[in-house]
Amino acid sequence: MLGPVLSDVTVGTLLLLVFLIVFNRRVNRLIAFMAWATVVVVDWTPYMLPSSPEAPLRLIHHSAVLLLAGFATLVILRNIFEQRVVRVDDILGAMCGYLLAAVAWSHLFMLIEIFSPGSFSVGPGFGASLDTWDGRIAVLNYVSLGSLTSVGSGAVVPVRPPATILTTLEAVFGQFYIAVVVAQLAGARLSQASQRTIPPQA
Amino acid sequence: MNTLRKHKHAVLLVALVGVGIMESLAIGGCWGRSFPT
Repeated sequence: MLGPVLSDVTVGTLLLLVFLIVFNRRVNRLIAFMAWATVVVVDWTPYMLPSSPEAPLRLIHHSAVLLLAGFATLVILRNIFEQRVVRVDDILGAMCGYLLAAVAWSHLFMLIEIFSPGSFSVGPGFGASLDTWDGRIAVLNYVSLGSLTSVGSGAVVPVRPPATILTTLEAVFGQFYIAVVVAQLAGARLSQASQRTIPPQA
Repeated sequence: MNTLRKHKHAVLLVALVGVGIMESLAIGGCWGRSFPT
């Protein structure tokens, strides 16, 4: 019992941190808060009402986390492109955006696995399986991060569309994220440095 | 408090990596949702 409770508390706290740290504008905060509150309510419903139906709750949970993590990635990207001064915290923010994108993609894969079971195949000897919700979360987070970083996920492979094309698209997204964000940050840093070295005109 | 506000993304990054490590432990059945209940 302690394991799932600990997991739900940790995930809820992490998403609360995302809400508090990433979103500054009022409309964005409202959307993010609604997504976070949905995740928390859905996560705790089975403890309060043990007879509640499982499948719809999972569907709502994954959709809400997809919305929150995907939206957070977009907001972080927008902030990066609006930055004129690059600080260390902005670079760490870009790294957070990368990891949040992996979270968003993994929840998209979970939705695919709900609507099209058997989209991913787990090879023999792998420590977790797709048979349980818990195992699915662990496996598809692993697949998502492997795909985003182009490392690949070894024993777990997508075997059916749209999972096949989406894992490839995630790899493309990951490459472009790195390229575009690094280019933007380096460009802003260079312009910062050149502004410092050029003396003001009299 | 001010230091935390200045380095808020550092806090978020540590949290994301921490939960990621816990998830990877869950693959091995050591933590969280993979616990037998």
